[in-house]
Amino acid sequence: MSDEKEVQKISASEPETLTKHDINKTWFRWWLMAEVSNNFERMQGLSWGAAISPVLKKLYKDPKDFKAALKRNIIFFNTEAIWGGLILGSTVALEEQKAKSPEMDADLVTSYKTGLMGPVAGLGDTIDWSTIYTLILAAASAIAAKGSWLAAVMVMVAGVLMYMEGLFFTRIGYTQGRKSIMSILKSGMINQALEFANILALMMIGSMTASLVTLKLTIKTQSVNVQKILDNAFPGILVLLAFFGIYWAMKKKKISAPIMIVIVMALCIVGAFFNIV
Amino acid sequence: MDKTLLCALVVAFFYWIKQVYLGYTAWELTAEVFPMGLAVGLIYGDVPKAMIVAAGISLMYLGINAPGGQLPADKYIAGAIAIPLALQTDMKTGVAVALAVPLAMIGAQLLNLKKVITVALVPVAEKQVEAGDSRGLTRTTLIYPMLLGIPLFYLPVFVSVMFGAKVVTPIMNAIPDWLMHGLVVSGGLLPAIGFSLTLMMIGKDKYLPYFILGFILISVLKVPTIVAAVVAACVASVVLVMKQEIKKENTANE
Repeated sequence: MSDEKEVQKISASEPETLTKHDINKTWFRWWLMAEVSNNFERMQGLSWGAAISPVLKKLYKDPKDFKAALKRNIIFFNTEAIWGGLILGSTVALEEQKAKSPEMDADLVTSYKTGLMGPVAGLGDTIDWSTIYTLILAAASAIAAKGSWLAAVMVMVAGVLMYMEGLFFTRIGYTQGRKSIMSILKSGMINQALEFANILALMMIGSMTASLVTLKLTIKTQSVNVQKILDNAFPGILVLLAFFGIYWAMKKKKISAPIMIVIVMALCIVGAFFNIV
Repeated sequence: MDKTLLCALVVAFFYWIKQVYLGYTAWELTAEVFPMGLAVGLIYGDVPKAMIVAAGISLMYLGINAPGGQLPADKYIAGAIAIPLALQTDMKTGVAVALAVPLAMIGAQLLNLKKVITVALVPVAEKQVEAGDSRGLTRTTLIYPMLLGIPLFYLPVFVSVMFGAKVVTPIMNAIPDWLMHGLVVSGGLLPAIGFSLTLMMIGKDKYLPYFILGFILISVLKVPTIVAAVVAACVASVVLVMKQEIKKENTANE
């Protein structure tokens, strides 16, 4: 056995050592391509393979090994690409390990990456897109509603920062390896941060609803101005009621956003026709 | 250069970046409605109006932004077409936002179309992998979808911005006052849909009191937005700290 290994080591040329530059470049390629070839069969699979291919070429000097490595990296894959940096970095580390010790089971790489894509996508979508980016958009909208160009700068800065975030995740993934990734994903820190963000987000959305949603009744009798009475009792109560009407319809009646938009428009037009709003 | 042509070239390019997805976050610097609005506003010399229309579109679809995922509406094509049309004609901002609605519905199908067509790349890529041709694989992944994006994403937006005003202006002039007023009113109410969607996504119903609290801060107490943000951060901190205290006590009691 040991003799065989010796022979193998001598005959196959050694894998090159990966540098920090290789990791940065791999992230850049993944960022660039992640969704470009997204299709209903492999989702991000081809992009993943293309992104990681230069690293594989450095690691696997035997063309047969290189082909095998490419092949296992273009299978079905789908995750949130920024947090996916964690998987990217740690997969590169695994492939490096595999290149150095050929007896390692290649299925380990595949099953690791496939097992992680779901949970990572869940975290990335929830934290980065549903919470942070939505809040940035909401704040930018509030600024843009006043006509300011600063809103554009805000989302552009966010785009750059998210690139840096992914680079950071890729580096962490590579240096810390898969064990620590698991522990990061399972730690209570993330849940606490999420709860903090949730409460903050809900309060901010509440205040933005108050400042950006408008609805006024124009209906009047000789002596009563309905809107004025409402404003004295609870400023904004009409908007709040309208909001919860829409929220209830979308959540409980499962009406999708595009349909809801049409319904709201139709109601407003009817209201305008009868001089109610 | 003709303003309309320049604008059509730019917004079609921005939209192409978004739907080809060249760079996972590059669209935040281009096709997101605010950079889009800024570019269009600069071209036509009316940044404030462009930003207000962009805000209307953004608020309506707030919470619809899972990248790569199935989206029920494409606000980016809506921004790419409705913002230029709003500036080319003297359309009211509320009407421009209303115009965005059908555009967003049609646009949502384009991305699905791309994902169906790009399935054809898989056998090509497999052959290249079999040959160990990693450069070919990159080409298949990157270049072919970029080319596909020209007829699929670039041209429809380009044509709409170039010639849309000719179609829209006579329609707008024919719209009666009450209908116009109804659209403007709906423009004020539509952001509630975006906020509802966001609430459904990040909030459980037990969090609703926080929403009402935030609402009252502005509508009744009329505090500045920054102050509201600080209060919100404080409330969130207090809740987390109290939860930890309770946890500590419980473990101590055991």
